[in-house]
Amino acid sequence: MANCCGGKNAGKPITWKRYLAGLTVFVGYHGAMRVALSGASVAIPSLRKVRDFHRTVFETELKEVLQLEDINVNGRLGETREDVCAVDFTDDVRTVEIADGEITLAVPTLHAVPEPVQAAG
Amino acid sequence: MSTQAQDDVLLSTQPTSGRMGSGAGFPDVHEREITLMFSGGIDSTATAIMLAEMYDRVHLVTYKNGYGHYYHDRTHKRVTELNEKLGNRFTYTLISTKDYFDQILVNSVLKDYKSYKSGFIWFMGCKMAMHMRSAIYCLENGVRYMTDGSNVDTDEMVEQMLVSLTMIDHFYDSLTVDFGTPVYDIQRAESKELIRKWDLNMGYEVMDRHLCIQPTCLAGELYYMPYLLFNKKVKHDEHEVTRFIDEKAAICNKIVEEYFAKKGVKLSELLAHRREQFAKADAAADNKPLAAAS
Repeated sequence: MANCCGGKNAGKPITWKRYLAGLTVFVGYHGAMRVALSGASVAIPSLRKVRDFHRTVFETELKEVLQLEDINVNGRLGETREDVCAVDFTDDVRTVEIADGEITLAVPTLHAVPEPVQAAG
Repeated sequence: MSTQAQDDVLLSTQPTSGRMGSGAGFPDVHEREITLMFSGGIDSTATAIMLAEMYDRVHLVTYKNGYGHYYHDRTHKRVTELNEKLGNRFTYTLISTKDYFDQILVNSVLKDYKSYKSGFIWFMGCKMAMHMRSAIYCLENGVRYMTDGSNVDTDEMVEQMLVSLTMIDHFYDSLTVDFGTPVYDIQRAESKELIRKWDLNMGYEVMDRHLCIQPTCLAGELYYMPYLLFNKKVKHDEHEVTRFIDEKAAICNKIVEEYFAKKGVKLSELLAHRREQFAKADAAADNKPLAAAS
């Protein structure tokens, strides 16, 4: 099974202008958060795990963003990406294997508003 | 507004009379009431409006995970707005999931990150704490049905992937709670239209997101920002997601057992009581058309 789902906008082309603006926002916002978390975790030791997690995810994501991984700047990856999941789940009943067996995806009942049971009378 | 402070409940407009802990034993199941995990955003607000047309009372529950999860007053404002426009059909409870989130994920977050190799663990762990506490809420308040505003349009979020919702559905089922996602297939445009129809606050629209109407999650802004800014694909391998939920569901079950044990309630007896009540209600509902026909 593929890496589902990438999101409905995943792989859609963006311009260099948007990429650079996005990069500024991403680095600016999360760079500031990293500094704030580092400072806060000195006073509040319980925040250290959060700080470390934030740092790890931020560094991983930033590296991938700088390498343009899965980012379709100026259509360099083509207009559409085949590996992007765009499955209409409504009629698609599948099974997924887990450690102790497999589960069946509970469609379409999952989507229904549960009807209240009317009181007899 | 009346408030009560008990354990992890930060704020509640829910009356305690007839509910667990009020001295009345196990609570009666209220078939015409439903619980909704509520943020005040587009999808959960649309769900709340729809449910208000079908149920006598909608229990809105909101959670605070204690780690960069801010602006819950926005949700409270939305509840007030809904009650004003739709006629006091909603109760509201704000609950802290920090301790549960610690046990499910935070205490082992770096180890889990090495194992699952993706930041999705934060969000799935956080959401599992919320679902677990929602199940407890339903058990304590005699509510059979549980919903949230998950939508296929935002299934890039790990907790809204179909596989995640399915496993969550199984988790609720094991605790006699009937889970559904009523707006899953509904286009966001329809949800927005419904909210506009009731003249509710839409917030500030930026890149198809409506800002300032629901709480903010710092970690969420980090993890999903590359997707929103660059259309960068999120990496959620279904096998890894199911492995994670499977592993953490065991912790959730243990927390639920302990929660009720602390209150002197034997969980197996409570569940048996609920099943008995469901059977009676279902039988009564099945007999109703026959009685009407005769």
